[in-house]
Amino acid sequence: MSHLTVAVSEAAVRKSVEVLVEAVKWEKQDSKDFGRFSAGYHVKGHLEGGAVDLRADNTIEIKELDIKWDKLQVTLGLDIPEICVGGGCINLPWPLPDICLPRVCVFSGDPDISISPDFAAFVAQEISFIGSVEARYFDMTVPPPPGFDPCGFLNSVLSGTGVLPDPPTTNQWQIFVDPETVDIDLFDFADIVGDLIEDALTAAVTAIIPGGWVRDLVLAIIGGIADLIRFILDIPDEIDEWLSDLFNVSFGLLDFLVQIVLELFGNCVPIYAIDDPFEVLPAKVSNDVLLSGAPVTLVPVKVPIADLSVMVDDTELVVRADVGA
Amino acid sequence: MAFTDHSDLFGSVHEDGVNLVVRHLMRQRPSLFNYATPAFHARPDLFCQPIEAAKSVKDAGNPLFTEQEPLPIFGTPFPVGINFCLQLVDARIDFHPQDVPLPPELGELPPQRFSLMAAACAGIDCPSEEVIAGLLPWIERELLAQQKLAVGKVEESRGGKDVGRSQTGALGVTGAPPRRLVGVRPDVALQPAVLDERPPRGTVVLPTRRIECFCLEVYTVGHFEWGAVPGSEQAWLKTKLDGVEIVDLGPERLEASIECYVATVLRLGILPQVMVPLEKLVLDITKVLAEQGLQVGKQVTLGPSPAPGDVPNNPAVEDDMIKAFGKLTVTDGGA
Amino acid sequence: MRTDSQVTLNRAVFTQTAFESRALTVLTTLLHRFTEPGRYRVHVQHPAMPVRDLTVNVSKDAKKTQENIDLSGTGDRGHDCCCGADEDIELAVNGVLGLYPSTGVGGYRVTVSSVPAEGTEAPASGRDERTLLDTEKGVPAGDYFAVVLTRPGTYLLTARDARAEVKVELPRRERLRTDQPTLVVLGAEGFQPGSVSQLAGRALVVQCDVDALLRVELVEPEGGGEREDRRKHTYRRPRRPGPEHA
Repeated sequence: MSHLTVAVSEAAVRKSVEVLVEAVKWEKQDSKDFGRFSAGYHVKGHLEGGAVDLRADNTIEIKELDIKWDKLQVTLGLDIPEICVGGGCINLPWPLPDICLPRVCVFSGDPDISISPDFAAFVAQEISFIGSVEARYFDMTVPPPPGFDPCGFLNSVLSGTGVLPDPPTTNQWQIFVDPETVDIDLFDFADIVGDLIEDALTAAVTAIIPGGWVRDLVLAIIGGIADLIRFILDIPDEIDEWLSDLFNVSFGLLDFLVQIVLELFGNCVPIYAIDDPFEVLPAKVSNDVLLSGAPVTLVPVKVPIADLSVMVDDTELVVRADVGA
Repeated sequence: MAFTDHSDLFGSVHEDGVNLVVRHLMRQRPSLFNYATPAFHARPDLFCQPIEAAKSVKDAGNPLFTEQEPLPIFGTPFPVGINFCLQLVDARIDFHPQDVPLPPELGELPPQRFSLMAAACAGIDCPSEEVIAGLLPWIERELLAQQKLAVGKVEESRGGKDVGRSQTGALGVTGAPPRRLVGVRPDVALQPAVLDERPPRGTVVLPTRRIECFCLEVYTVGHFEWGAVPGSEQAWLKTKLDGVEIVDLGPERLEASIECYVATVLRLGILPQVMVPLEKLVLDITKVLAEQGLQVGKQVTLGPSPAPGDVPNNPAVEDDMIKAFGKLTVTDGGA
Repeated sequence: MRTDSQVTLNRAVFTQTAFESRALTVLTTLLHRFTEPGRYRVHVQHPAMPVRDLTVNVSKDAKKTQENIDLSGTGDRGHDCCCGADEDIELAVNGVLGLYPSTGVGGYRVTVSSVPAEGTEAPASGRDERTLLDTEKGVPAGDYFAVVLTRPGTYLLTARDARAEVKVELPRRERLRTDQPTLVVLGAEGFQPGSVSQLAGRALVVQCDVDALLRVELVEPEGGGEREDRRKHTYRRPRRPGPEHA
């Protein structure tokens, strides 16, 4: 029989996870140059909702966690290719060599255009994961392993202060929900997003070309703005699918989100922690110990915690531990 | 049946765990369990039972006991006291069902109750004949000087005779009132003190060579209950006393008096100091959640589940354990 | 993220509606053929720019058959050239030197003269012993004058007493390829063919079999002379106080 037993109901675990989930906010931005075009993003998001389910196999499932995007802005920059008139060659009878005409270009330099639409309102995503509950011992005397610092990573991307607790200053028993599988919805942009991008790019290209017959001529040369955009962006099919691929694969935002969940729950934020030794009575300044009334600082009374273990069934999370000798 | 069928949080502590915690408490806060006159600082070997203190206590220079005034000797013309000590040397708790036999006076351990067996030792200095003989002339002279004799006023000048050192030991009287006594003051442990013509200032503590110790086993029966503490918003687990029995002490009236005294000491002196909030006793959930609560604007509070509304007893003393049932409340608008 | 580069519209490409061989402007190109080996000086004048001289060495050994020089630049010879601004241009016999301004306003006058040099043969023939080409005077026979017509409409091509009508149109739906010039030959009998229809943005190349001053002018723009909208701000000087009349 363990000396200490603590059981937390599924409802209490749910409340605790809700508190943690609502604290998670992140922000990230980056850009990539794809040659003919560049793409960047600036995203801000947070988590909402989520249903916690304790499972009989010693795991906790957190499902249907809504990823709410406060900002999902993509910046697309296009290098408009040279738009020139003239050129070509005249074939002349032998022995005269052909003559070739110079081209005269419409713009001095390669024009770039960029747009930065925000698609936060158009994307709805969910994330779910199943994690095993694990009790780990945090030993102050053991230095952290070299290499990747998961909590440092989280500190750099989580916005808002204090989502991550300060590193413990004493040895600690910590209980984590270590995600084993993470399911996340792919970025899925509605058709309307493709239209929005096309309209925005068209407007941006149009803005640099004078109107009237000049625009007609330029558009005739470049083959129409829609075709030009598709050519530059190398869009095989629909823009919304291309955009989804950009977020899902090229930007690696899915990996980023998964990593947040993995590190947050698996390494950086224990759902519960208890100091070892555990302080039963705090330090106390007493004037009653000596007859003279001189103050005496009595040391805190601490009790060692041993053999902490955790298990989950479908109704509750149970933590057991012994009092050390 | 799950632990949390009727609550959000369940916590239990087995009696073995409690007894270990008590042992840690005795070693790390010995001044709660040992009381003695200051003379024992210099002569800890005189305690009835050696005090085992944790290294942290020694490193911090914490006193091993709580200082007490010497036991006064009534009727002396100037304050005279003798050294004593009182120690709680062992304590073991037994949650229902009963594992430790109780004295017949306490009967069987009722459900939802616990018993606490404590072994207490006390020691009082018994001054030697030498000490009394050495001090007596001074008592007499001072009584004379103060004209507190039963025979009434006596016309005689003070002093004039030599007081010499004993040739046999620490104390010696050569037929005349001594000029030098081995005395002890509360702040001068077992050091020689010189009595001159003037009456001594403060209490003269008689020198101690040997403590007469006796030990008693005290059995108490009590229960736990939740209560408020002025100045605190959270519920505290308090220990309440139902009965006290001191074994093999007579006569009956003396036993009753001492039992009453012990009960009073426990109720007013000891037990209030060991009351603890639920989350401290079981698991510091609130600490973790409150840290996050501060950051997310949530107020996370842990309170006892209402009894008998949610659970029959809270805390419950059963199965050799104390069990507590908690209710977790998360509300908006935290600090 | 990159910042958008500063883009300047080459406005002359769309505003120029009259072109003359006597003054080379944006969209015009004069192509001079060097039929004799020798050393030549190309002298370029512009009302608002410093005089500029280029040297062309024509020899049988040279392999290059054409060099295009952007008169508005600092000796740009096209994208495949590695030479500095003032280095000599090497051309094969019968090689062509194309002279054109890519930007700017105003016309360039160009003269090409032979430069007798030790070890090189002097030009054997020519109207002028020294000057082979002077745009002010005309395009010599054997040379070419090209104009890129961007604005849709009807143009009139004139030279000597010859006239030709050039219709310029925008493509209907297909993508426009501008690298398909139209060749017109100017001979003693006039232009052949006498009328031309081509797509906007393409070059009209006049092969001069006789000396001539050429002119191409928009006479009827498509859409009735639509003008670009320009924001204007008109400043009116306040009336000066003058003597009052009764």
